[in-house]
Amino acid sequence: MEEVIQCKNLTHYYGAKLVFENMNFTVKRGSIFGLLGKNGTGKTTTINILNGFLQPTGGECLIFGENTQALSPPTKAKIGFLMEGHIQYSFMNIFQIEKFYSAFYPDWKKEPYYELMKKLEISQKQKISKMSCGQRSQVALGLILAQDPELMILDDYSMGLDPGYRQLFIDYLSEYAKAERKTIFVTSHIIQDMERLIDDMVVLDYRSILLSMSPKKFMDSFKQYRFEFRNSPPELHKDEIIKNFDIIKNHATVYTFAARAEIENYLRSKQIQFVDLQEIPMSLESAFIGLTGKY
Amino acid sequence: MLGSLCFKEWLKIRWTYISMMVLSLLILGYIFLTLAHDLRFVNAPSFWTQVIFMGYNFYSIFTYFPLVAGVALAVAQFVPEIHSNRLKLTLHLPVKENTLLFQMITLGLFSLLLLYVVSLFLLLIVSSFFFPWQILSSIIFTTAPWYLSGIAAYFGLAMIIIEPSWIKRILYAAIIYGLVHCFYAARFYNQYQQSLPYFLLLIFLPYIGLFYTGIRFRKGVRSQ
Repeated sequence: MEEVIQCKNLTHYYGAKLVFENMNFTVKRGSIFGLLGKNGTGKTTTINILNGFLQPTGGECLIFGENTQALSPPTKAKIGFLMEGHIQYSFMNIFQIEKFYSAFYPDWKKEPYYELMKKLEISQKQKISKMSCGQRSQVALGLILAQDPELMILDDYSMGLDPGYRQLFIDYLSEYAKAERKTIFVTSHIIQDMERLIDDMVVLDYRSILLSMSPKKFMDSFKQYRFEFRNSPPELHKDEIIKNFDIIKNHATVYTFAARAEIENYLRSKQIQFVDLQEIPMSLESAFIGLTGKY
Repeated sequence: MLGSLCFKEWLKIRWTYISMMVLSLLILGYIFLTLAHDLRFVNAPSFWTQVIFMGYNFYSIFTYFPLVAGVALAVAQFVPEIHSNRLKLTLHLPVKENTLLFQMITLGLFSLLLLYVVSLFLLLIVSSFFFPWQILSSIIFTTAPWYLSGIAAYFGLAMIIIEPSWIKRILYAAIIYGLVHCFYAARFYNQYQQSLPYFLLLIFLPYIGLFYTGIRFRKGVRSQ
């Protein structure tokens, strides 16, 4: 399967502060790829590098085989870009902004844009600056759909959106991606929406990639076990088996890719006295928090 | 594409542009009325003596108009682009980044030149009611540095607005202030007539600087 995005040994520093080092990932044509991570792990930095708005300290990213630091106009025409906060030209109204962009893209399709605008029930002369965050998100999404790009890069589309608009955004996106076999690269901090949207994901930790796999595989293999302990709290540490843990009162929770038998053996090997070990089902969001930690 | 870009730039600058046009008309109306009043009701020979021999500048109220117009236009055109980093949207358009920046600056420059040409033409018309052509030609050479200062200020301010680093912004502001100051050192008519070609060269400094800050913006140099 053809790779639309390739990032190789990507390293970036802001001054002396390392954001990430030797990060590698690829995005295949026709897939919806999620770049997930807590605030400050480098999601927007990666988006900026992908769009050529930031020169990485090391490594490179290729989009359609071109280095993102020197994207040619025809390649840029194939990329739809949603800025964090659904930023658009707020001094334009719905009609003006559609007219403006249509001149730049030969395959412009205004129908999906106006279809979305109809749902908003606002005048064509209404300025974008006077719209709510949800309405602006629909304008930004409508413009990307009208551009009909092969690749969409969406930086935190969920920012400031209430559940209704988030749902609408995802419905349109997934429908569009499936029907047109488009590639989508998306970042979000609302993990629960990602479960039914993305095919592949990378979870960023501070300075590196924490995980790279499909959400399905992640949900099938990542487990949460809770047990009761006697006497003093067990001394748990993050290692190859325990990816994260929580201790509250006389209960301990461990997050792991290990099977039940494996975790039981592990706890015994550490001389941890446990009773009533249970596997607790998780949503993608709980699993994400389990993996990355609450802080 | 260029037509679409023109449309976007016009949407940003239109109210500022119209305000500057109205301001120039008000200033020129004031000059006309003052001239008419002084020549008809005060003492025409004395007024003439002041203009010819004492270097009285009857359109001195116009001195800083080109500068104000250049600054206002740069603010109106480039602040909305920098607000929330909207310039990224423009630079993401399927056109080479430097070409886009060049087109935006050229459109702004042409708008400014049109405003200047109209205001100068009207100033000459107003003056032609009262003065011979020798005075009119001196108006062109006397006001030329003022207009050039406006163009330098337009380029300079655009450069300052696009620059991501606050420290460099302050540095550029000091340089542009010094540069613009040079255009206003003359005290008499036509004093800068010989210097105009050098002034023309000087305004290219902030013009080149604008592309440099544009590249810095695109490379993601962080504000500090």
